[in-house]
Amino acid sequence: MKPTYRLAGDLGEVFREYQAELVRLAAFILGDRSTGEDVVQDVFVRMHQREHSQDGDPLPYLRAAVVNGCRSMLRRRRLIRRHAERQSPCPPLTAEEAAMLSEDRRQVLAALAALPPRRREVLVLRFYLELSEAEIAATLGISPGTVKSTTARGLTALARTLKEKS
Amino acid sequence: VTRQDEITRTADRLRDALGTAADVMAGTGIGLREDHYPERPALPPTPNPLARVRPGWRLAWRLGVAASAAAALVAGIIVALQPSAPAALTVQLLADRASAAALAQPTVSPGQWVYRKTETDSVFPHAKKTFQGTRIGETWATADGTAYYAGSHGGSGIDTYVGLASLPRNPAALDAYLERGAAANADASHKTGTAFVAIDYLLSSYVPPPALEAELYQALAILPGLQVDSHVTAIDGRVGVAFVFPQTSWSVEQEIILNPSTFAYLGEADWDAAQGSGMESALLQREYVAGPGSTQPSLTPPTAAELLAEQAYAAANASWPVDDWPLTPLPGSWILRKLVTSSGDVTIWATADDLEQASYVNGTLQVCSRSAACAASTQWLMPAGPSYAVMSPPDSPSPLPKALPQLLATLNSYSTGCTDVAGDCNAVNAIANMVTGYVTSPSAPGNWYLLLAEIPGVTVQHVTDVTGQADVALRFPFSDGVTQILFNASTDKLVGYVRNGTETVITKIAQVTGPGSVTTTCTPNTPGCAAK
Repeated sequence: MKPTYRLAGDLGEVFREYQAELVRLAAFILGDRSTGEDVVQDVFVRMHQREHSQDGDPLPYLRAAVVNGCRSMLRRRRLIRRHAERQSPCPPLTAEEAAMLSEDRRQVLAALAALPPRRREVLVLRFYLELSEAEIAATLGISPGTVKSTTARGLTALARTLKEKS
Repeated sequence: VTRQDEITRTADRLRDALGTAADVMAGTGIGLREDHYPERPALPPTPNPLARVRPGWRLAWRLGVAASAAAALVAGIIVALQPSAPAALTVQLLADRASAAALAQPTVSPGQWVYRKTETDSVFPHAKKTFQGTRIGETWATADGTAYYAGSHGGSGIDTYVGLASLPRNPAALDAYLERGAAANADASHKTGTAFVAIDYLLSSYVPPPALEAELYQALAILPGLQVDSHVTAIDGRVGVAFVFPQTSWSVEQEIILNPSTFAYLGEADWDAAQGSGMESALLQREYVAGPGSTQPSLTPPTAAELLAEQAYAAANASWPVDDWPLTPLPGSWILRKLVTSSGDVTIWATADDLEQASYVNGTLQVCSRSAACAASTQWLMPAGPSYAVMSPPDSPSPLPKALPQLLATLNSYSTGCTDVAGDCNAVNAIANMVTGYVTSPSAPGNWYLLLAEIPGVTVQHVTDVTGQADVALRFPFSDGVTQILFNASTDKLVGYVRNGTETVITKIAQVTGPGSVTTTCTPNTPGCAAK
């Protein structure tokens, strides 16, 4: 019964269709679920305030907007961290949910969360949303070549972290 | 294994972990307000209950046609609302009645358990199919919303119950305060909607003190643009009378529904006329009960032990994750604990699942697997009770029963070597072991804390622990084993225990690189570690 607005009209439909997936995307990128919910909510509010309808599939725009929202949230959080020594992050999974994952999977998610944000973005878009390199390039506004190299570096770093832990 | 194979395998593991995590999140409702949006799979095509009820009843209401028994009930509302003068049903009149009803309610303790049985109906058309669903939910929560049992609770909402005490006590100031959730440059309608939803949240999630509840209704009354409506809810044929925030370009219609004869809070609804989608949620039953799991009405204030257990439970949930751990540490991770005991200080290491323990004995690090002998040599807790694997099995919920009586029976079936078996000493020892010995999800300990308050003869005592800190102790009438569990008097967090006469306080807990190590593991949220 957490307060939530439902948006009127077509946007409400889009919201219902994609909200869950976008929140998970943001949660994986941020490593923080409640902030992820805020980011997605903001994206929809902004989209509404612009009051123009988009033709075609809204999903590519929404994904890019969510990734951008995550970036500005990370910037803001870094600023806050300078002032507050200790933060209490909300992980992408609740403790109860984390307990439902195997040790191996938790280890992978922890290793992912330890990567720099840009690598995390690419890996989440690639291996959670299963986007192509071209789609990732369009979403992040980088070249397909950069997507390829960032993916490779991200996986290498991930493999190294997992090896150290095991 | 070539490097390329390893990269490929890592990619597969990542894909699998993200996919499984997403499934788990979807299953537990992330991003989906399950109250609002039923499952996607098609349901049998039945008439849309809201569509059937609403236009008809709204029409009947407007025309004043008493076409059936239910319409007569609606007509009855008007009589109930107009005992003296032929005044029209207004927002202010409804607010006055609701405020008067609120003031006639008893003041309950913040720790009072409240049982709610709720029916939620939702419907929304999607492409060629209309999705609709009905859900009956049963929840137990304390009046202040800090502790809950079964079901979920929107605990991270606009305001905590503790904050309610400081809310302004006049309607205009209250509205101004509750509107702060809207953006600073939001228009008046956004601010009104924000305050409306905030008030709905406070009324549905908490049992506010009567004076505040009365003020909340007055704060509703002065919000601009609200309407009142009476109609039959889709739920159980119940008649309701509602405060209505009409549909705008940015929000669907929102309703706060009251019982038309008692003017008590009945439920909430939202309705999108353009889409024909909506949700109605109404209380079928709300009782003050003696404890979680009970449905028998009882306005017994919680005992001191129950209050402490509830607060400890809330503190355990609020403090998660521990320090900067983003996820539960893996079962084999080494955890360092500094213990201050009444017989000296000691640093001990144990894996998160407590299967291995380590400490320095005469300058030599001794590592041993979990056993009675090892527990004695490491001064760590007893190796008894459900194992970590039982408590937190991978990829599935714990098989331990959730209902308190069954959980108590299960925990008592473990033999922990204590004497007062009939007095539930085994359960207390098992719980003490689990809450202090394992580093895992705090959700299960919640139930365990609540169980501690139900042990026969348990008492609460303010004490000063061996570190000189003010604590509150749950004391059990046993002669051996764990006889006390200590909580910080100001934060309510678990700090230690008394076992066989020795007091142990955990002053530090950290994930480290291995047994004997004091090097903290770099975790994703450790400042300075993440960007490596």
